[in-house]
This record gives sequence, structure tokens and C-alpha cells, in this order.
Amino acid sequence: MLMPVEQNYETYSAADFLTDDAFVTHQLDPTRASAQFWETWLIQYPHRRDVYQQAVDLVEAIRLGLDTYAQTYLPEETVRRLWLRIQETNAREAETAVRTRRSGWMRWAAAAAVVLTLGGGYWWKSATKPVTPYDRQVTALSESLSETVNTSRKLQLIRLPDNSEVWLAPDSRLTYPADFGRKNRVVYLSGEATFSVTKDTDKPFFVHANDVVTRVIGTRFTVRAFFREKRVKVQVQSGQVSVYRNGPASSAERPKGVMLLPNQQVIFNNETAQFDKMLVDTPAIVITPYVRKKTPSFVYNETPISQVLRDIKEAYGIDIHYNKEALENCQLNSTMTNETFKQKLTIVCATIGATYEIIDGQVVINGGSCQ
Amino acid sequence: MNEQELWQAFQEGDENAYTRLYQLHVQAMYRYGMSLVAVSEAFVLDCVHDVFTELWAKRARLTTPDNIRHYLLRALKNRIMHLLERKEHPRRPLEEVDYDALWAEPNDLEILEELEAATTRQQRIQRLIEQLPPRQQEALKLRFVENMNYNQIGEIMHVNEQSAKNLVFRAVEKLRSWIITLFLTFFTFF
Repeated sequence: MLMPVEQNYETYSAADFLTDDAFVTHQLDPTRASAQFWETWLIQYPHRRDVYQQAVDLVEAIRLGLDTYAQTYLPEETVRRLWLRIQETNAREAETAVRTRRSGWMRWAAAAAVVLTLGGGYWWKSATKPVTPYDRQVTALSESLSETVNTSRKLQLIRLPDNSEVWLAPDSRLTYPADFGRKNRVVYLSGEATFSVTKDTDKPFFVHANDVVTRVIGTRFTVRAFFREKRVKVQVQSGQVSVYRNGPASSAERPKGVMLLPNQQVIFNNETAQFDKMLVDTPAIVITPYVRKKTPSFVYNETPISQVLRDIKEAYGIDIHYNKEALENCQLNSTMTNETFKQKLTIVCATIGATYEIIDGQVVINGGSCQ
Repeated sequence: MNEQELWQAFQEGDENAYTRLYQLHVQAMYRYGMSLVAVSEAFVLDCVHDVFTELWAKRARLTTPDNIRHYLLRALKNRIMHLLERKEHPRRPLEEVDYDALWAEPNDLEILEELEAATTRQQRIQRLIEQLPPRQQEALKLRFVENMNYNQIGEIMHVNEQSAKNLVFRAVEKLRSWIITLFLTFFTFF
């Protein structure tokens, strides 16, 4: 604390007060001690009260005149982009330093050249890069964050504080608050990642990706949200997730989302703002770690079709709709252990003279009969 | 954690502390940098970038400053001046001293014209301050917005403490005389 020491304030003009650090600092940032000092001084020298007040008014007027300057403000996106650029340079410097550690003084020249050329190029790139929803969301977070950027060419495993696992694809980034898991579980994704989420019914797990939120309790699923692709894809391998548009949580017009079951996926198109629900291209047999159930062998000998379809439905977790009465007498003689989901359906349909289609992530079998 | 502790954590390589220092001071560095070279935001951002990357590279060798904002503003100004003064740089300005010496003090009529368009008290004072020589304006900003003391202002502006006080003193006297002679006569200023 800057306290006035033996200053002869009694002789001060208003302008003199403004060149006194103790006076100005008290005007800008008063403390209890400084307030006490100046109150005492004013009582001691009441005839200088006018001059003191003029000085106070002058400080106030100058600060008013400098208000435009004081309000000069760099937008948050720019602050964040500049920070990314600083980090890039630091990372590159560290790399250059390691690579050229043994090459003596030359390394300084080399490092400087790298910074200048790459630095210039990167600035241009970052200045013209659009601000993505990810940038916006992460910048808006006030807590301290942990961000992982996968700049390698391989999947990168991230273990979250709640023991959930994230396999982050190349060119992707994942951010979560430092206090992740304490109140809730929220992560922000740009790019692609597969999540294996530890079950916790009290704290649902949220993935924010572009404008889409995926909410789960405990499951395994993949989110793909590269900003450049203008769409978000969510695929479920096990469990159950809900996907909806990011919006005000309280509003009654909360955008409708979709519920996904295993082997279903949804594609959210940024431009039409539509959710398109479908089966994944090659559905896989669902392995649920919590439910120990034997995977069927898919070996059938005069087995009722209803049994076959139930096996397929349970193994892949995909609903199959068909006319039970019409297919009541149908049976199957076939071994389909190595066939894919769609091949199995094709065999079944060929046997009973039916066709199938996939509507809204479910299978519908049309026609077919057995006498 | 106070700023000094934050600084020491940063020196030991704590990236969170480094990030926090950036968040705490980037706005002040930006506005101060822009007040020195208003022509190019990209140039000022480049200099902020250079200051922070250099800090990181040299972190182990730095001492802990008494006032971190002062330290950062001084580093920024040094960086800006260094780049501007490089001979090959097309934006090379006149020497600072020359610049102020060439500053033609506006006469009362010019001041009046300047104020005619201003509609609020804030605009009037702002326009008056803009009539002051650049170094006086800079000293006002450092003292009354950034809350640097005169010793620190002197260091940033490469003059001694007394000269820093003189810059503000002259600015304040000039503002007062303009206000008194011009406006109490013609209309109520405040």
C-alpha cells in the first residue's frame, strides 16, 4: 500500500494532487487505510477542502474522458484464437528446441526462422478460420478447463475422472471442466470420438458437439462432429442415448430430440436442422457388460421364424416388426453364424418370400407366408 | 493464489498459471497497444503473441516483478517499439521525442470547433484529451486507467519518475485552462 510520507499537501494545487501516487491510487482503488488517512487530513486542513475536491473532480473528468479507451475490448473469440496461436508457437518452439539441441548456436537461427515463417502463415489461417460452436462453447466456460487435442494420426485414449474412456480420433479435440464429475458430467467435442461411459444414474453424461447434445447414463457410443462437415453423427454400440439440439434448458419449446438404441445412428444436418434416424451401416452384435446373456449360435434346424427373429433382435438390439400370424408356420433350416445382420435378414426373407426395409432405425418385414 | 504466486507457478512450467496470466492481462495489453499504434490491430496482436511466447521460452530465467501488469505493458511497448524502429520496417515513425516536439498545440478556435460536434460531457472531455500531445495522453492512460504509479510509468515511457509526473501535470493544467477559459465563458461545461 502506497501511503503518503511527510508530504506537504497543505500547499498542493489540484494538479499537484494528480501527480501524487497516494492521492490518485486512493481515488482509483481506495483501501480502509487510505480512506482513513484522507478523512483525517481533510479534518486537519478544512481550508484546503475546495482544492482537494477540485482534484477529485479532475480525476473523475479524466477517467470519464478516457472511458472509451478503458472500454477498448478484444472480443472473446479473438482472445481465444490468439491464445491458441501462442500455444502453437510454444509447442513448435519446444519441438524445434528438442530436435536441434545438439546443433549449437545454429538452433537459435533455425528456431527464429521457423517462428517467423510458420507464425505468419498460421496467423493468416487463424484469422480467416470461422468461429466454430466448439470455440464458442468452450470460450463461454468460466471454469478452468482441460483440453486434449489429438494432433497425431492414431486414436488417442483419454480416461476421464469418472473412469469413462474416450477414444479421440485424429484432428479432434475434447474439453471438459476441471471439476468434471463433481456436479455433472459434461464434455465438449470437436471432431470424432467414441465414448465408453461409466454408469452413473445420478449424473447423466452429456456430450456437446456443434449444436447437438448427446445425453447418456452409461453406454458406448460414437459422436462425429467435424465443423467442416456441417453435420453431426451419433452412433450407439450399446445402451441407450438421447440426442437433441442445444437450446435453452428452461424453454418450453425445447427442440425435440431422438432416442437411440444400439446399432442405431442419427445424423443431424446443420442446415436443415433435421434429425435423421437410421441403422448403422453394419450393425454389430451388442455386448452388454452388465447383462450376461449368451449370444445365440444362429444355427437353426426347423426353427420357427419367430424364434429366429427374436434371436436377431436381441443380439443386435434392433427392433424387428413383422406379421406374426402370417409367418406363424414358417421355419428356418440354416446356419448364419458368420453372416452379417443384413445377410441374416436377407436369408430369412428369401426363405419366407418376404422383403424387408429399415425405417427409422427399425426393421419392417413385409409380406411372406408359409403353408 | 495471488499474482506473484501465479507468476512463480508459471515459471515452474504450470500451464494453467500461464493461461491465467494471459486471461488477466490480455485486455489491458490490447488496449494499451492499440493506443500506441491504432492503425493495425493485427500488428498489436502479433506483439502480444511475441511477448507471451517469449515469456514462456525464458520463464526459468525471469525474476518475479512487483507489478505484473506493469511488467507486461512494458514488455509489450518494448516489443512494439522494437518492431517499429527496425530500419526496414515501412511503418517506422518519427522518434518519439521529435514526434512530441512537432506537436502543434491547437488554438482556442480549433478547440471550439472540435467541441461543437460533441454532444455529451464525456465526448467533450474525450475530445479535449485527444488534443493533448500523444505522450501526455499515454501518461494519463497509464496513471488513471491502468493505475500504474509514476515510477512505473517512467520505466514504461523511458523517462524518470519526475518527468512522468510532469507529463501528467502539464496535461492536467492544459485541460483545466481549456475548460476554464473557453467554457465557463461560453457555456457551462459540466
